[in-house]
Amino acid sequence: MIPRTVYAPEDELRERIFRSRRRIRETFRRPSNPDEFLWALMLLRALRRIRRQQTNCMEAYYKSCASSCAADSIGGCPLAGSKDCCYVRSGLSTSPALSQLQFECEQRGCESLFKDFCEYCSIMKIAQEDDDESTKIVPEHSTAATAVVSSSFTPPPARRHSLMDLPDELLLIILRYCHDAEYTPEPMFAFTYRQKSHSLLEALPQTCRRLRALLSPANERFWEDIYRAHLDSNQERFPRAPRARVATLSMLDVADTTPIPSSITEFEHHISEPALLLHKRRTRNASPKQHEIAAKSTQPCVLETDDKNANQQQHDQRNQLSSSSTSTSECLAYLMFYSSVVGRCYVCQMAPRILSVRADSRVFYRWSVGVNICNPCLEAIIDVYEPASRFNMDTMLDRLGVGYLTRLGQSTPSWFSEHVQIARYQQNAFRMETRKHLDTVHYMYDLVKKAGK
Amino acid sequence: MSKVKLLSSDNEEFTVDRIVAEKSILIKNMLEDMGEMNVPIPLPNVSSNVLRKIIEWCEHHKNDLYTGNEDETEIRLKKSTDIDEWDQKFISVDQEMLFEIILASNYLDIKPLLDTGCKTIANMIRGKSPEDIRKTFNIPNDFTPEEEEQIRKENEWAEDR
Repeated sequence: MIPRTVYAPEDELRERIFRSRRRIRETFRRPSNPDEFLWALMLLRALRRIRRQQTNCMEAYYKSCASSCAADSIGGCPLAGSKDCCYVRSGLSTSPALSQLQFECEQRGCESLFKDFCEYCSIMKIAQEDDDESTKIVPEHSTAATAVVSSSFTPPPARRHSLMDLPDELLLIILRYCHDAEYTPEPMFAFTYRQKSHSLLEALPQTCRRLRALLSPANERFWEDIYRAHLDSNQERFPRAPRARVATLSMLDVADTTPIPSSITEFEHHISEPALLLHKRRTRNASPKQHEIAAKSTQPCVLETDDKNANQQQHDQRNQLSSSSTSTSECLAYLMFYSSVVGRCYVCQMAPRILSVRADSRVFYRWSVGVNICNPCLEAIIDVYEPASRFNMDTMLDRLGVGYLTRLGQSTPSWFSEHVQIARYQQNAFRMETRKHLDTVHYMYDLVKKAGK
Repeated sequence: MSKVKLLSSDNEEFTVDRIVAEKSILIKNMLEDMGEMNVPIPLPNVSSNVLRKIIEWCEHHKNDLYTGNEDETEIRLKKSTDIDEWDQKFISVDQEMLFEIILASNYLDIKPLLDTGCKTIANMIRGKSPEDIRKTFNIPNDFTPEEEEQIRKENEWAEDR
C-alpha cells in the first residue's frame, strides 16, 4: 500500500476544487491560446472514448439512457454531439473554411481531430443559445402539457389558493405524480458531478417542512406505491432487467452498513463484461495480504457503519426534520425505492448507505466500468489493483477539477476511477496531437476565434 | 334525456344532462339515493366559475369509461406525464383556478379530472430546484438556519459551484 500524502484541510481543498472547476469551464468555453483549445478538444475525445467503452459494457442500458436523457454535460453545457456525432449544426458547418479543413484533415489523417472540432463547435453553439436563454423565462418541464401551462401561469395579484392550501391527501396525490418514471442517472463526467436530481428524493424534501414531512421515509404507504410504479416502469423500459433481484431486496440487503466485500477476489465471478478495472486486475494480481491491507484502509468509512450508536445518530440527524423519527425497519419501501433508483453495488450486491450520507448515492454508478460499485468496494479495488496508477492530486485538480470521495472519517482523497481514465486519455491524446497535428490545431483555433467575434 | 340542476356556492344555477352530472361520483350517488330530483343540487364548496369549468370538462368526457378502481389509478400513475391534448388546453388556467378545480374535483369525486390537475402540478414541479419550486408556488422557506445548513451539507456535492 502506498502511503497517502497529507493534504490541506477539506474546506480549503473544496474551495480549490470549485475554483478549478470554474476556471476549467471558462477555459473550455473561451480558450485563450491553441494549447487550451487543444486540451478542450482532447477532453471531448476522452469523454467520447469513455462513453464508447461504457456503451460496449452496457449497450442495452445505454441505448435506453441515450434516448431518454441528453446524456452528458460539461460544465453546465449540454454535450450535443455526444451520440458519436458529428457533422455539426454549427454556424461554421456551411462555411467553405470548414469544408477546406475537413479536406485537409482527411489528407493528413487527422479525422479524429476534425471530429473533436465539430463536436466542440456544436457544443459551443448550444452553450451560446443556453446563455441567451438564461435571460428569458426559465422553461417548464419539457412536456407539451407544461409548455401550455407555463405560459398562462403568472401568479395573480391576490391569490386565494396555493399549493400549500391543499390538504395532505391531495398533496400526496400530486407527489405521487412527481415520480419520474423516465428517471435515469446521468453520467458524472469531468467537472460536473451533478446527477439529474429526482424531485421526490432531492428537490421536494428541501422545499419546506411540510413537504419534507410528507416525504419522510417513514411514510411507508406512499413509498410503497412509488416503488411499485418505479418497478413497473422499469419493467416496461428494460424488459430484460432482472426484476426479481430488485423485488427480492430484503432487510438484510439494505442493512445500514455497507461492509467491505468479504473477498475482492470473488469480483471475477460476478462480472463477465470487459471492464477497465478487470483489465487492471488481470495485469496486476494482488496478493491476499494486499487485499487485507486495502480492506483496512477503508476502515474509516466502515467504522461508522460498525458503530451502532454512531449509525443511529446519523439516521437521527438525517431525519430530524421529518415529523417523526424513523428507523430502517420503518422505511423499507423508501430504501428499496432509493436503492433501485440509484442502483446496487455489483460487487457486494448491497444498496448504498442512503440515510446517513447522501453523497454515497451520487458516486455509485461507475461509467468507466458500466456498473454500480459502492465506495468501499471501489476503494478496496483501487487500493488493491491500481495503487500506482493514480494521478497525483494536482493533475486531477488542474486538469479536470474533480474532487474526491467525501466520506466521514476520510481525510485524504481517493479518485473516481473514471476521472483518472479521462485524465489519462486526455493527456495521451493531447501529447499525440501536439506532436503530429499542431498546425491543424492552430488553424482550428483561429477559425473558432473568428467565429466567436 | 333527463336533466339535473346544480346550484353553485354563489347561487348560480346550472342545468346539465344527467350523464354529464354523473361524471361526479358524489352527484351520481346522490341521484341514485334520492331518485329524480326537481330541486337543484346545492354544491356549497364550488363557486360558479369553477363549476362552469368542471361542467365543460364533464361535457367533453361524458362518454369516457372510467370505473374508478385501484388498478386504473395505478396504470395512470405509471404514465404520470401523459395528459390528453384537450385536457392540456382545458387546464391552461392560472394557478388559483387550477387549485380550485383540484379542490372541487376532489369534493365532487371526479377522479380523472383530479388526476389531470395533479399531473399538471407535478409536471410543473418535476425537474425544478427547491428554490424554483418555492418561487413557482409561493411556498415560504420555513427551515431554520441550522436545518438549512444540514440540508446544504446533505447535498453539498450536488451544488455546481
